[in-house]
Amino acid sequence: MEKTNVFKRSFASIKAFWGRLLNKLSQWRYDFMQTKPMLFLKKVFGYLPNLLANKISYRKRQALWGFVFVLPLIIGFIYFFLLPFLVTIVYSFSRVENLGLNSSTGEHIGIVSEWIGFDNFTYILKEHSTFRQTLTSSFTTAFFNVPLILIFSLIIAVVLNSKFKGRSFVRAIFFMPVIFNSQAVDAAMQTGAQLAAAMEGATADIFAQMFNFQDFLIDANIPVNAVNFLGTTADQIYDIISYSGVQILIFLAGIQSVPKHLYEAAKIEGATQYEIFWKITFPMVSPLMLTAGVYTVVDSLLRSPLINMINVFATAGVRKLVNGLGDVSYYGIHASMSWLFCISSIIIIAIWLFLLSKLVFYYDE
Amino acid sequence: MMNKDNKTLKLGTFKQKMQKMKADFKDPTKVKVRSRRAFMVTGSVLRTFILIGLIFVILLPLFQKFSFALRHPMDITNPQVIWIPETISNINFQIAYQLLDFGHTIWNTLILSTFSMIIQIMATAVAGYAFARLRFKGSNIIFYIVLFTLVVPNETLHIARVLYFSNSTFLGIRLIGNVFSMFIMAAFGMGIRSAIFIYLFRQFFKGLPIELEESAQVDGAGVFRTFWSVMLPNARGAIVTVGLFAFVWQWNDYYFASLFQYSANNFAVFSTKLAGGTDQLYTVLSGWVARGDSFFQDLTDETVRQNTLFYGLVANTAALLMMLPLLIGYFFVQKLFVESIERTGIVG
Repeated sequence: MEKTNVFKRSFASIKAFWGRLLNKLSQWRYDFMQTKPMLFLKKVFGYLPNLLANKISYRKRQALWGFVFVLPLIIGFIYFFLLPFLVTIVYSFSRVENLGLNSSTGEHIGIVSEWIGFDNFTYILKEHSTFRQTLTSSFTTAFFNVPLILIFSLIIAVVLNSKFKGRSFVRAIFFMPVIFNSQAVDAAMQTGAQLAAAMEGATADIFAQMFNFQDFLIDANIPVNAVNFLGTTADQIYDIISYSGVQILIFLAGIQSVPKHLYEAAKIEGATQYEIFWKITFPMVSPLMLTAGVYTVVDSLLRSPLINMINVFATAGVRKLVNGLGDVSYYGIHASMSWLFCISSIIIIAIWLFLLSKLVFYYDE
Repeated sequence: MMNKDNKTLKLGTFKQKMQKMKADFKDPTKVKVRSRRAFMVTGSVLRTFILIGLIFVILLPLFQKFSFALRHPMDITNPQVIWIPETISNINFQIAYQLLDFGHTIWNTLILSTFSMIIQIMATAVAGYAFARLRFKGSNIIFYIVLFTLVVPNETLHIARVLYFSNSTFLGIRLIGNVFSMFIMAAFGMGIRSAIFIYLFRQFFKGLPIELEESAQVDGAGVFRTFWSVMLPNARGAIVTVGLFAFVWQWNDYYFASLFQYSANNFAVFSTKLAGGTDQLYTVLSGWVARGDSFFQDLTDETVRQNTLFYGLVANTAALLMMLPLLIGYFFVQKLFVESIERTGIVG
């Protein structure tokens, strides 16, 4: 009949299917709970908390449940994070030898580590050819990315919050880069690096022939440094958009939680949109600057070339482990690089937290 | 006479009009109204331009990927082809499909991502609620520890984890080469960026009115029941956001896939297939050529097969194939997600 209703009808049928499935599931669950052993278990578990409830106050039960809720987190933290972390710290100060696999049984014999003090650190800082350079460049990029991304994502959040036609479509498009950002895709694209270069060449040609903005700015007597900064920022625009998805989300949610009566009062007093932004939206959203700033630093460091370098050492070290070739340096160097990475990222986060905390305004009702 | 009268009359009305307009220009309220209207119009025009530009920037790589994927390998070196291929073919898709073992891999990835998403939501919602509302000793310290795990990236712990996991078991479960290890990590709050999800849930639960809980408590609900039947259903916005990110990040994850090596257990996922497949593309292709596969009949030219750009083309198409299910899924979930943003209500 009508073509437009095809989608609606198919959606309705999918919905109906889900509804039937969920009904079936709840029916099964109900039947299952009515079997005798389950009834008995239900009785026991219904009885125990009541017994406790009469003896322990609500406050204490809350604390108990809180501890129970967090317990898996603590176990996971200790096993999956703390122990490897401590091992990494120890390795960064030692020469690690992998004894490899037993040739007859194929079992892993073990690992010997010997304390050598700061030798690993002096190696990576003084002798390694590119580490120092990569470290400084990665961290300056991460440092200067913060204001760029914060301002950009705040502006976009304000724009996406205002009412206009097709807003939900624009919102859906803006969160796409967050979704399609993938290490694996990047890796695949790296193997096709020449293709990417060819692609960039093709697009650059089109736009460069039309109008070269950088040349125009230099002709207009604007300092070359400033022009270069603007140029690199403009070139990075896709990166900036794809870096700032979560921050936009944070700011958008923050703007929506601002009490509506403030805006109404401002409108009655005759404030312009500009004034409303600076006097209401910005101060109210400013506490989220801290969260978004920390996330930005962490995220941009995760995509820095430094992480690639650490990864190279990690995979090289792991390959040695698998092959059972007892090479000395990889583990120690990887560990000391990681350790330096963590310390520097904490320093950068601390600096930005200090700087941003001056902007922050706390509103108490 | 008549004519002149008419003229003066006209002139008079014109003068009156001019005076009226002058008064209009000077009237402060009207000036304000006019300036505001101009401000709004320029603002909306500017906004439209910026949004169109940014949407173009976002969609350009996607269009580029499609354009490259549909290109026949013979067209690679054709300088006339920039956007629209001369001969449209699905040969890249066929090669990438076989390379990824698509039909098998998509099920594995779907199962892994779905279960991991569900487990992540459960684990992080519980922890977030505990940090937001349940006061117990050391809750702040544990929360700072959680944030600390965000600052230290997984890559830095890689070697230590590999050594550690390959020499020991977690509660009797061997972690390397086991698909369930990802679920275990997620359940114990150490999944892919679990710390962010815990933070999101904590902020969300903090934003919910405390009266909700108090009324449940007065009605005689225990702590767990309050959480399960009152707080969790109200957290739909946060659940959708966290679920989307958890699913997508798991889908795209390469670090954990290479750490736990699911593929060793015959459980290949897209990211490992993609990274491994493009490395060995030449050997795979040569094998197919030797076998005489039908869709190679078009690629008779040996120079095409040895062109590195051709490998780039196939890698690009494989990446597109990996993203395509997400893209299609996103268009279905997008409405829910965008609505959920309205309700996430994070409060700093």
